[in-house]
Amino acid sequence: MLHRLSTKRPKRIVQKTYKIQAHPGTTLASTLTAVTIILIALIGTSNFRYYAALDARKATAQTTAARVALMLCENWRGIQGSLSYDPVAYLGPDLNVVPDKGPDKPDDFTFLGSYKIVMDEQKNDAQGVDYYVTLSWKDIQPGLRALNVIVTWAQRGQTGFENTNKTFTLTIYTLT
Amino acid sequence: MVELMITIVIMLIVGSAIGVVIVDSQHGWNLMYDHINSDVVTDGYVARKKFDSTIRKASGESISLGDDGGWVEVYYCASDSSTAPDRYARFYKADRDLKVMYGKLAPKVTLDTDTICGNVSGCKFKQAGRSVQMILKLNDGTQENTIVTSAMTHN
Repeated sequence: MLHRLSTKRPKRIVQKTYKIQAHPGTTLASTLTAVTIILIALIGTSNFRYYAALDARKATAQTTAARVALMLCENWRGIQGSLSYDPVAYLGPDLNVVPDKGPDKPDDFTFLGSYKIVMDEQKNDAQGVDYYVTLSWKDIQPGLRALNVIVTWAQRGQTGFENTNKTFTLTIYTLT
Repeated sequence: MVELMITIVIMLIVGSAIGVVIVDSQHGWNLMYDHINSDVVTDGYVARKKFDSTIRKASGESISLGDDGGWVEVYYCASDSSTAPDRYARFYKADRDLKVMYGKLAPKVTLDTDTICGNVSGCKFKQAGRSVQMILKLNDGTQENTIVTSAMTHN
């Protein structure tokens, strides 16, 4: 029996050769570069937040100091600048005010008293600030008296008069 | 392989450190934000403004103060045509709210009551001559804020 011979040529196994391409991967250098960039961005963001928080705290302390000065001035003015005015008697014990050290009075004013005022005790509020106050007065002319209040506090949150580094001064006038 | 392992270790250390910094930074930011914008702070602004504006328009001829300083009542004119005070305003603490009651005089009739702020843990009023002081303590359980304010009666 004749077999029909195929005219096709037998298949040959051809080995294909593939060129292995070296794709660039993540190297140590590129990783460190990325880490450095991330760190710079992170430090920048943290810096911004730190100063924003710090400035907010400074602003709060200064606003409170201004309020304390205004309250004392108007309290004192309510009794026509009486020279027997004592904040402890008028405002204590509801307000934590006690005689203590205080900033220097203006040169041409007469000293009345120095006090320490604690608005929010640090056991209740870690941001609490102690304020040191000096009251002084000066007769401008008969029947007209200038009332001066100087408030000082520590901006960095320390306690103690020796750490105070910021001052707010208010002078108002009253008829006596 | 060694380089890959070193890279992974570096990334792990730096990633962990960055995570800690981010969490701590966010926590601090939230605390400070609350310290500036929380209810006890903004309520303090409102209370002080309301107290100032009411006291400053009141008459200095008469100021009524509660025995324990729990309330204060001032008197003012309803309009420019009034020749004598014909209205009153009373500040007082009710539960944990600071309220102000407005009314007419002669006969004394209450017209309205406004709630100024909440979170009030303590409130005392004092008087020194023609001036009135308010010492208001606000506490929302996480933060305390003491408001001190004084206003002169100008009429």
